[in-house]
Amino acid sequence: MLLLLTPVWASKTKEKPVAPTPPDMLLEGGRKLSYERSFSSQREVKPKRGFWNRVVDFVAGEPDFRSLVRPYSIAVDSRGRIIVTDPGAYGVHIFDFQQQKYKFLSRVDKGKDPMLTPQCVAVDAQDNIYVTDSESGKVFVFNSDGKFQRTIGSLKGGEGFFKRPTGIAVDSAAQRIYITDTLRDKIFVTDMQGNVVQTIGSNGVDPGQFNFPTELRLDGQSLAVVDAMNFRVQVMDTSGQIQYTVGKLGDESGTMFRPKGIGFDSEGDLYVVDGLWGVVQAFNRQGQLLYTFGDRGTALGQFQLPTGLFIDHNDRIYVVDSFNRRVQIFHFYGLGKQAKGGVQ
Amino acid sequence: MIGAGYAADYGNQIDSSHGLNVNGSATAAGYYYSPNFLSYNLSPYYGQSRANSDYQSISDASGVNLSSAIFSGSHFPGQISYAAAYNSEGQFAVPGLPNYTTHGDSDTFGISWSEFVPGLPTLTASFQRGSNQYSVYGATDNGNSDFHSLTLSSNYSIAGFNMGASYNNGASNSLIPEIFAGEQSGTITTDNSGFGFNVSHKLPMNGTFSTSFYRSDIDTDYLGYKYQGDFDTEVAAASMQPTNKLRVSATASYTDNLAGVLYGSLLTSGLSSSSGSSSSSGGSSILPTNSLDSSHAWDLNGSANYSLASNLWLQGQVDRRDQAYLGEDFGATSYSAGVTYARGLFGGTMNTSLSVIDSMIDNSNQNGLGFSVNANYGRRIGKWITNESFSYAQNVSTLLITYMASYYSYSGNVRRRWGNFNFNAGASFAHSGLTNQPGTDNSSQSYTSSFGYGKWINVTGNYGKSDGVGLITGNGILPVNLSPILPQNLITMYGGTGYGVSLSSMPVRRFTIAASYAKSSSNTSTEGVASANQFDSKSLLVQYQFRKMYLTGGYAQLSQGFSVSGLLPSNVSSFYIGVSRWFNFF
Repeated sequence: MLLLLTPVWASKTKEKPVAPTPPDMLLEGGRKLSYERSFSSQREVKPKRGFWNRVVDFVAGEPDFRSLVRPYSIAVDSRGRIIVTDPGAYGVHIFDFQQQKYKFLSRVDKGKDPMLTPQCVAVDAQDNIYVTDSESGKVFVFNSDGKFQRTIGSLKGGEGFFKRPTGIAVDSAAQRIYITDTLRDKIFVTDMQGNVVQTIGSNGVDPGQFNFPTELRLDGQSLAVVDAMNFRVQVMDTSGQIQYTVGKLGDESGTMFRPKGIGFDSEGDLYVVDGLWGVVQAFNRQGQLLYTFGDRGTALGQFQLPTGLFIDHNDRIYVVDSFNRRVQIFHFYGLGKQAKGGVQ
Repeated sequence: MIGAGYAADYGNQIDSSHGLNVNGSATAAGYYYSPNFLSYNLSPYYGQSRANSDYQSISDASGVNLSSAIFSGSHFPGQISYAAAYNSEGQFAVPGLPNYTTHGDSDTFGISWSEFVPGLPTLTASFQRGSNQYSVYGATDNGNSDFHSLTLSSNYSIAGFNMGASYNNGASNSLIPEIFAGEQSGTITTDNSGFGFNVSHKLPMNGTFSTSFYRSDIDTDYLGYKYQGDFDTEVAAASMQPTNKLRVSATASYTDNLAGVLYGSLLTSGLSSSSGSSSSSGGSSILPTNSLDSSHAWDLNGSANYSLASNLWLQGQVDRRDQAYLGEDFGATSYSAGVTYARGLFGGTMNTSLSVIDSMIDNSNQNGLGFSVNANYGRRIGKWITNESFSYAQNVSTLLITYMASYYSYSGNVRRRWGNFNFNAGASFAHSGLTNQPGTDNSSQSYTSSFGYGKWINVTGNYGKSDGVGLITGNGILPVNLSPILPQNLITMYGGTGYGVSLSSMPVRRFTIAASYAKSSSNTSTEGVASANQFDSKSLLVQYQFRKMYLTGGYAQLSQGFSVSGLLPSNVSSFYIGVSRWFNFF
């Protein structure tokens, strides 16, 4: 056994090779897109451990740091905490790099209202966390400390009201919650207590109709909806009136095959990540393709089956690189306007 | 995992000891170059017992398990396995009751290699060998056994004919402790070999035709009862499906040595393994039926199945059997008709089958009417989930024409959850025996129940009761169905009751408690010698995990005795308190 220890200690003295980062992208009008970093586990929240922690680590081993297993969706709250849903881990990761804290929310073992497949996530103005569970058909609400508050859509007997809730967006000012029910091809608009006040959309291919809608993103009075099997993103006002549409089926730039996460930057441009092609495409309000970044692969700046996307107040673009089990962060340097992400 | 702590072992028939105990286990799994080239899984362990880990041994067991595959992605895949266990716990069975405990050393080795080149006949060769030595707590005798076996098989398809050939050769030697009879240990030796061929071809109307030949050669000695002989078995079968609803089939089989078939069926039953350790396998023992020399048997069978509806099937069957044994010729003709039906019933699902058999034995004026019923029912009542199954048969044929068997069995289970609380309860009964043959019955009943609340607590309890007749083997008592043809001095009558309860709990995260208790008592009688036997086992394991470190405390106790041995029941106790840590080296 002691002989086996030797290569372990020896290996820790070796310097890890540094992976090359993607070069900056210079965009029109002096704009720029830079790659910042990626993360994949709890360990990276507090990379430097103190002396006594290292002593305990040596004696009892390092703690079991949680890692991303099959991350799906992402949101960032007003405190800069990064919230990632992870159906593979049956929970939600909360990474707080500023406070060097980490929390994992899970209710899979609960007898009442278990959270089985956390799908998409949103936060409100108080940093309450809203998580859709596509399997149980409910929305789980946690407060900013991660304490479970309530469910939305829980019927008597424990069944969920929604058939397959996926996308979610919260309008704190209007006290409305938008929830995509993918199997019903509808968006349910509820008050903060979960009472349905309006539905948007029906099955079809016309503007305002959906074919398996998934992710939602709210940008002021604009609500963007990923219309997955119509291979487009529809942007409408909060009453459901279409403003514009981007994307069509195809395999060249400007088209989509598996549109997943979406977000708006500070200039109001719409970003869409395509799960199959592994690329993020940015469109303006006229539906014109502005630029793209990323491709399929495992290197930094590349994606394999990316799913979620979020753009915060500082125009940081968070892309959930699901099959590579990581989140990659890019920084868009625009013309000085404030992004519309973060708290909604 | 490497651990160290303070341990003590003491008892009335073992040397007491105490002091620092070092224990550990490891797993190395991986591959060289590619998983399709060479993959392996190596698991050594040292000083593992139920007092310091979840390893189920009252004594500190050590050993290694290895399995490896080479060229698994090619046309020439091979596999090698090896297992060795030292000072390890094994089991000596009484049917339907908690097993008595043995301990000893054992090892097994196996290798197989195949050739699967497209267009050529396939070939698979495998070889296994093993040995073990063991003693039974509370008894004076020791047991041991060793075995080896070689098997070759090949398949080839040409012009629509699927052909196969096989060869096997094996031998085993066993010394069996007569713990229930209080006599000297007995020996079993077996040499068996055989080869055979088979061919099949498709027929019109979704039909198939197949025929096979197999020759076996057996040479055995069971506690002084010897048998040596060879037998051939030929089988021909054909089936066709003239319409979507009708399927007909016919089978003819012949053997020139019915006694050999009896031996062969016991060899392949797997119940005649002559080992006393849990980690060994293989070997064979044989029953004494030397009075069945010069025997043969014919069996002609025709059957038809017709589907009246998607959930309703009718079956009809005619069977003619001719046998010669015990110096006499026997013949029997049987006709059977049956129906199989499935439907929803009272909100549940029911599957049932019924068949009636009319058997006529030549020259004996015996005309037996028999029948068999099988029923399964499952239903959800509110949040309760229930399942029941029931089987009953009267006067159904056995391997020998002149003996008919009857049996019944029932099993039921009910379960439900209330949030984190779960409950499960089940019961089963079984009874079998030869018709009009007193003293051939075997019966058992068991009841189990469990409940739990999340990870907080899970409790399981069971109660069992059994009695019957069987033969002593290296694994314990083997129930037998045709006991009248066996020498009565080899028959062991048994009966007893047993119960047990186990508990596991995780009251706080990373803190686990596991406890179990089992007790049984049985009475056996062999050659008029009676023995009252008892078994009592307790264990407790408490463990707290801090990161990769475990603080462990455990206690295990075993009491086991056989009155015929003239010894007091053997008491063995051990406790352990220590710390262990696991390392991930790669």
